[in-house]
Amino acid sequence: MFKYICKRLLQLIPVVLGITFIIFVVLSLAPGDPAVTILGPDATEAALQAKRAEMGLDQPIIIQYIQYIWNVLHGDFGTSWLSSYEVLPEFLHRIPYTILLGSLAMSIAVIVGIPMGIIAAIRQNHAIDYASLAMALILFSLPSFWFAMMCQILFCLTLNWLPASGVGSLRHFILPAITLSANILASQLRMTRTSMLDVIKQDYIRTARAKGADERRVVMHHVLRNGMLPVVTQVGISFASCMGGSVITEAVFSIPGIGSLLINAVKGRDIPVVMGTLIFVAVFVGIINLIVDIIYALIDPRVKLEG
Amino acid sequence: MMNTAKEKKAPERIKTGRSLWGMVWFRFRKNKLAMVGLFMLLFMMLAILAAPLYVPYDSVVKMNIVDKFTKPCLEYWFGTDQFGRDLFARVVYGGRISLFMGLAVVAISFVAGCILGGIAGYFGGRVDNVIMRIVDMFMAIPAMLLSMAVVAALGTGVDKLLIALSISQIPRFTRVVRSSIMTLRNQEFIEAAKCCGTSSARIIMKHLLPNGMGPVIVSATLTLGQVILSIASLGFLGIGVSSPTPEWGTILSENKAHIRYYPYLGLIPGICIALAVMAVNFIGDGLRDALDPRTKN
Repeated sequence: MFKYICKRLLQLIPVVLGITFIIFVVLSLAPGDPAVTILGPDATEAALQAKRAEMGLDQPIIIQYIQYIWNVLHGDFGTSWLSSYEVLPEFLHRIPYTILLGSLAMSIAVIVGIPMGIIAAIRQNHAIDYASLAMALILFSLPSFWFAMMCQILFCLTLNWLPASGVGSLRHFILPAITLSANILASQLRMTRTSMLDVIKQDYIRTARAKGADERRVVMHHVLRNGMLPVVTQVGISFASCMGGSVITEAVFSIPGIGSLLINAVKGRDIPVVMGTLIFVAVFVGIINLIVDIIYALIDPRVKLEG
Repeated sequence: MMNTAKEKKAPERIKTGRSLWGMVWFRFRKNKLAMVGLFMLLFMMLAILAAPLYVPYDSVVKMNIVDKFTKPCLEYWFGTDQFGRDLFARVVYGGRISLFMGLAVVAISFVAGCILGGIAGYFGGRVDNVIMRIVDMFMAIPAMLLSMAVVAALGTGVDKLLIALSISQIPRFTRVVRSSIMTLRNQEFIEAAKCCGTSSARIIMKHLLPNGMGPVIVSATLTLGQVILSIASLGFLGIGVSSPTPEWGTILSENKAHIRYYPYLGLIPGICIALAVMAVNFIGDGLRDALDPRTKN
């Protein structure tokens, strides 16, 4: 197991290096002079030259990239071009908000979505099945920024039940977490239902019933244990879409997390910040995938982790 | 269960004399939700394409300050915004970007995915390894964030958004095509084609891709829904299509400040997006059930 984890973590390195290199090159080739971005349009040519040399922009791209990665490995993610803050401290300051929002949303999706999927599958073609499927279809098709905005207007501005924006207390996170979870909840509900129905149709379930096992035992011991396997994978995949979705939610509810940082960086082509965010996300998603695979092997003895 | 299903399926096909895709359409047609989706999508596309016939493009940008914040009425079906611009015209012309750019992104990623996935799946070995490792790199970052990073490099605008969204979808298509091709690669008919001296390109194009298309088409439909949502989201965040070109997300972003007092400004464009995505998802689900009758429950 330890060997397997090490191997997977090592495999993560070329993936992260590869994607960051591609994005670094694309960002560097983009039109626009970073020195002008930093010093402003009024800077003299000599000052611009000096700045370029200071930032290493006069070097070939590959050297610039190696220099950048070298610095990152030493904990230096560079300085924002737009507002000259250091990227890493800013990051550490903002990460807790994003993680809190993301984990709340994932918890809601898992706690609500999976049981609803199970119930829908057990009561297939009953009213409750249709109701939860219809809910999933609607939630899955809603634009999350729109859903968030409309909920904000209804519950925060009109009814005044919850704070509209900011991060003062846990109450501030209720609505953002619910709106962020909507899409994920829907896909988890559908995935759970499909997977459960697949298992229910299997011969060994009929055997279990034929042996006289009561329905509760059949569902809990036979259907659930096998039906949950694909759902675990789905939960893992959802973490990635949760990271993507939180950018939007953070923007709507003005939460000072990684997402809102990235939006401003993209608008201002603030390359150090964009690069830092992507490295963080790529590593995060890679580690989540690893954890999912380990959990998968733990709950399904047929899967062997090859070390 | 399985046996009876198979026995039933064979005579059904022989009796009706339908081709495989004829059967798919036959089953698709019986799925009410899927047909509703298909008609919704066709209606929206027609309404958007035929827009110049019933609402001039001028009303998209023409500001009638006197008429600002008119509630939906006969003259302005969807009301007007803070500048007195006709929301109906903006939504209809905005659909051109949202819907047709979505289709374009899916078409580009579909073709690129078929080529890359076809090559990787057919040749296997080192070629496969190289292509799939590159795909892995792109898959390491969620689609939405990858698109944003590309926008950061290229800037905003319709053409750049098209590139940004395609780049984040191509790896996903490549994976689906590859796994679909790999299940077919070792079957007899491919061996037969190889024995006839058919070129690799022809085997991929004429034998493998048409037979492996099912899952790819389903995933293309479901991706279309996600891409429409991404276009709207990027527009809303102000890093997609930029004003004054109307686009559903941009319209919502411009109306943002006034939705609280004039709810129709937010409800109508939002419902349009949701309906378009829902229609596409219905079609995707219907196609999946039609292509693989076993999954229908």
